[in-house]
Formats: sequence, structure tokens, C-alpha cells
Amino acid sequence: MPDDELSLLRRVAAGDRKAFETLYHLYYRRLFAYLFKVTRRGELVEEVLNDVMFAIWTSAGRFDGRSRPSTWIFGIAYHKALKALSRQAVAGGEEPGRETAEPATGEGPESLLTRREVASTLGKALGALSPEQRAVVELTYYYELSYGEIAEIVGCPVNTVKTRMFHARRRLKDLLPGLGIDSHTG
Amino acid sequence: MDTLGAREERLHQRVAELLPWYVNGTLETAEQQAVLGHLAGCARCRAELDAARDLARAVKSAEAVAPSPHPVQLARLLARIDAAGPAGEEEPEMALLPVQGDAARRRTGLLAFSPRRMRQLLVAELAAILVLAVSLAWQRRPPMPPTSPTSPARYTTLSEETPIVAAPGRLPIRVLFAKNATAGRIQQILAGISGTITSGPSPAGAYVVEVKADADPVDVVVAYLRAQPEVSFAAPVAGGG
Repeated sequence: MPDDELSLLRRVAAGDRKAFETLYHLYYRRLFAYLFKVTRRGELVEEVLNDVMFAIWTSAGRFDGRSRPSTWIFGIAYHKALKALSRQAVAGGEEPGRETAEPATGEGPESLLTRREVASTLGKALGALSPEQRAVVELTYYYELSYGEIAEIVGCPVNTVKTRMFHARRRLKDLLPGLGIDSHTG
Repeated sequence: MDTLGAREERLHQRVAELLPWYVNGTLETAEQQAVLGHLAGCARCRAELDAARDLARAVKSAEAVAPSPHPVQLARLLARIDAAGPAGEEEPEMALLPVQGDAARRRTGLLAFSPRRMRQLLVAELAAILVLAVSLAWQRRPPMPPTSPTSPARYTTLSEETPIVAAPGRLPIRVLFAKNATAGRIQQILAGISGTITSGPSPAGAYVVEVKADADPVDVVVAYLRAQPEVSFAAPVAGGG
């Protein structure tokens, strides 16, 4: 319930550790799944999640209540995820968050764990998007958020959200011929 | 002066951009009606709508495997919070934006000037506690049962497999998951050690899981793995790291 989350955040802002632990348990799995969806790097998720929760602890007093608590928290998670990806990219000399090829070392946990063919094909296609585009796709279709809420989460104008989605759809059209996303549009 | 065609094209473009949110049902009523009105006369948008629905269905049905939090992870976070001080004591400018958290953290307190080092110390302490707890639990366990009655000799085979060299800063651990281990549990276990599967399965069914060399000591990680009912075998890879 949003009201409960709001009061939890207020208590966290006042330094209430119990409220923080409740919020942690409430959001852990949601954030884990979301961070994996945005980063597609299983090895990063735990560390980023820890950073997100730490930021919630230090910043809860700044939450002004104009958005839903989940929008605010997902916004923090989005920025922390992008930051972690760019740190990793700097270290590895690659483009942040874009999977250009299969890992040379072997099968990653996501391909091990993803059972259905469509999920696997989709996973690869989403992996080929930029993390910014991927976030918009997931927030729209998986989390079913409005473009206004997505703009708040990713911290950009609504037109940018629409443009990112437009480019993501075009890219996915090329990558997912089996999903009926090809050949329909020009 | 706009031609009719140019105006229609612009309307088409605006509607096409809104389709993903028409599909997820979050458009305002006015926008929703505009989309509906345009769809009736635009075959391109109707096709685009079908494609958007397909994509929505696929994204929605993709597995979102997320583990439950491991107590050690929460303990680490709380230790970090203790080191940083109460939330109310933060400098006001620290929390303006989520992205400022890291920079702000670096400014708080003496220890926080080298947060990584501090975290390592805290993690080492927690790890020591975990070693104790896990080894106590481990001692009470009967010898590791084989995964199934048909594969009793797997451990010898596993330990003799080819040594593997991990990426720099990573330690490889050979892990055999029990046959009844679900994908969700495997991911939970991997998340518990911040591990990544880098290769496998070998002919004996083992995976190589890499963990950060500067995180928990490898014997702690191995003890943790062995304590999981879904892990039949876990051992550091010979010559790894």
C-alpha cells in the first residue's frame, strides 16, 4: 500500500532502523528484478541494490511526497544502475550495458535460468538495447507505468521517453522477427 | 502552409508514439480517444499496435527471478549505515539527487574517506561470524549425500577436472547443483555469494562460479555453498585465482 510506504519513508527519514529494515524487505525482490532488467548483469545487481538502499537511508528526508514512493525509489535505482554500468564499462573499455556478444567465458546465469525460448530470444534482444532504452521498455510493458511516471524515474522530459521507446521499438523489430514485430510497420 | 498530408503525417507520428502507453492502459482519456479515432483510419498504426501488444505480452511473460534477501547482505548494509551515522545527520545537500549519494558518502566521517577499505573490514568481521556459524552447522551435518543414488562417484571426478583460470580479481569455484535445484534457488544461491556462472556444465554436470577475490574469503563462500541443500558439491578450483 502506497500509504504504508509513505509512512515507512517518513520514519526512515527520522532515522528509524526498524522502518528501514521493513522497507528493505518490502523492496528487495522488486529492486533485484528491476536492476537485473535494467543492467542485465547479474554480478552487479547485489552491489547496486546495496547502494540504492543506502541512498534511501541517507536521502529519505528529501522525498517530497509529490510522486509515489516507488517512483522515487525506482528513480534512485535507475541512476545507480547506470552509474554502475558506466563504471564497469570504463573498467572494461566497453559500451555501458549493451551486450554486443555472448560472454566468451561461457553460459551466464540468465541464459542458464531462462527456460523458455521466447524469453531467451527476448532477453538477447533487450540486451542489445542501450540501458536507457531497455529501462523505458521494461517500465512501460513489465511495470505498466505511464510515460509521465517513467520520465520522473529516469529524470528526463516525456518527449525523451517517447523517443527512446520509438528507437527501442525499431531496434526490437529487427531483432525479434518471430514476435510479429517485423514487417508490419514502415 | 501545411498540406493535409503533412498534418496527417504529424498526427500519425504523435499517435504512433503513444501506442505503447495505449497498450499498457495508462493514457489520459483525451489521448486514449485520439488514439482510438486515428486507429480506425490508419492501417500502419493498427499494425504497429499489434506489434506493441506482442512485445508487451513477451516482456510481461519473461521470468523475473528475484531471490529473497540473504541476512548477510542486510547485515552488511546495516553496518555501512552504522558507519555513516543516522539519516537525520546527513548534510542537506547530500541527498538532492540519487546520483549525489556516492560523492556525499565520501565526505562523511573519517572512515568514509576510504569506504571500500572500511567495507572490507566490516565484511571480514561478518565473514568471520559466518564462518563460525556455517562451520558449526556443517559439523552437525552428516557427510554430503550424493545427489541421486545413480551418481555416487561424482566428487572424485569433479575434483580431477581440468583447472580453470579465472578473470583477474575473481576466484573460481566448482559447483554441482542438486538435480532438484530450481532456477530460482540457483539464482538465490548465486546472489548470496555475488557469484556468476562462467562455464559449465562439465561432463560431470559441474559449473564454474566466479566470485570476487576481494569479497568474502573463499573458504567462507565454499562453506556457505556446501550448507545449501541444493548444492551437492563445492570446492575452489585447483590453481584458480
